[in-house]
Amino acid sequence: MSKAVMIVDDSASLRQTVKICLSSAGYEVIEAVDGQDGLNKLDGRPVHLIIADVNMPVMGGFEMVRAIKQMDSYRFTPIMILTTESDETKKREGQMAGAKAWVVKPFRPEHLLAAVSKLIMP
Amino acid sequence: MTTFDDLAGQIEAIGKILPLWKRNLALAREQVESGGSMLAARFSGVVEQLQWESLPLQRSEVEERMLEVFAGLQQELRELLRALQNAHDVRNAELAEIRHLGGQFQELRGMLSGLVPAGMGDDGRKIDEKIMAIDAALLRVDSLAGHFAQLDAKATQQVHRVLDAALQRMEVAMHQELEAARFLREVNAGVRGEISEILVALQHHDRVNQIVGHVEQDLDKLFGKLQEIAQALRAGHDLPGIELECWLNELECSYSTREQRAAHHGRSAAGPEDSDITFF
Repeated sequence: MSKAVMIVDDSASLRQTVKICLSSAGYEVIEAVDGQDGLNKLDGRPVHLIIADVNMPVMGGFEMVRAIKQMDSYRFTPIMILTTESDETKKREGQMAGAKAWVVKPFRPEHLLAAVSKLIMP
Repeated sequence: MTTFDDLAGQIEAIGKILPLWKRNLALAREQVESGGSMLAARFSGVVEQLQWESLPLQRSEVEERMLEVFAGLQQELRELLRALQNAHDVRNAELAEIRHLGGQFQELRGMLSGLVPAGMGDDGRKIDEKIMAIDAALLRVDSLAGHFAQLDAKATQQVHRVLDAALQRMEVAMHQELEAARFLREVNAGVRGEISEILVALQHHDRVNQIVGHVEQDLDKLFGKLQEIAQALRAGHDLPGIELECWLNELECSYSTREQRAAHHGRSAAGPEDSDITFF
């Protein structure tokens, strides 16, 4: 069974770019347009990794990460922050919220895939 | 003489332009976003077919197996040729033995003709007839063996030629096949590299969106401030102060990219590096 990855980003083209990379490597990709949409879609389905942007309307990435860490079914699901932000203070904030990795856009598809497979347990 | 009302009117007029700028920026943002989306969608099919991870540059297992099978076949055919050559050599050796036997018999015949006197009558004639019969038989055997040896030699040469030609054709076909497969792999890797670059380039619009988004937010703030000033002028109140330092700090805090922070201070910064990844 293929592993499922959720991408949470308000940019449709960014979601599509991530989807292109992950689908070609056999991952199932679930799309969410903001933090709240991401939480709504964590409805019991298996999700092996969550990739989230920081700045999004309705609910931002950090708020969503903190909410996920309170959910029994998903608290151990690794979360990767994918953002244009490279500021160290923000990175620490993401780590404190519970993220496992921080990737600054733009990313190279092969590097993203390597990071994803590192975070998803076999 | 300019009155406060005139000033307020002018400020309000400027304030009416700001929302237009904002709408235009929003429009630009939408168009960049939808353009990026369309481009990404067009590539998705191609990328799926390329299978990002699973095509190594080295020979495939099937190709390696083909090479092994070909090498094995080549070895077996060469052994077959050697076996044929051995059989031919044995026949030549047999022919040499027959010829040697013929020579021995001729010697024996000479010796017998010396021992048997001419007047031995019927017995002498019978011995003579037997000797001639054996001699004729030996000549036939020698002739047949020679003929078969020639046929064998021709057949062996023919098999050599046919098998060598077949092996050469197979070798050429195999190398052409491998070369074509190698070329396809290189083209595939090249296309993957190009698409990887395109996907990286596509992500830059996300940064453009962020930057334009910050300008939009700040235009909102400026619009609000101009309205406040105009209202104060019309009402004859004190003008609201502009906390410039605070405004600039807030603006700087809203930035998400290094280039924005550098531009804020009038400096230029290198663009983003690809794949800056941190694991916690």
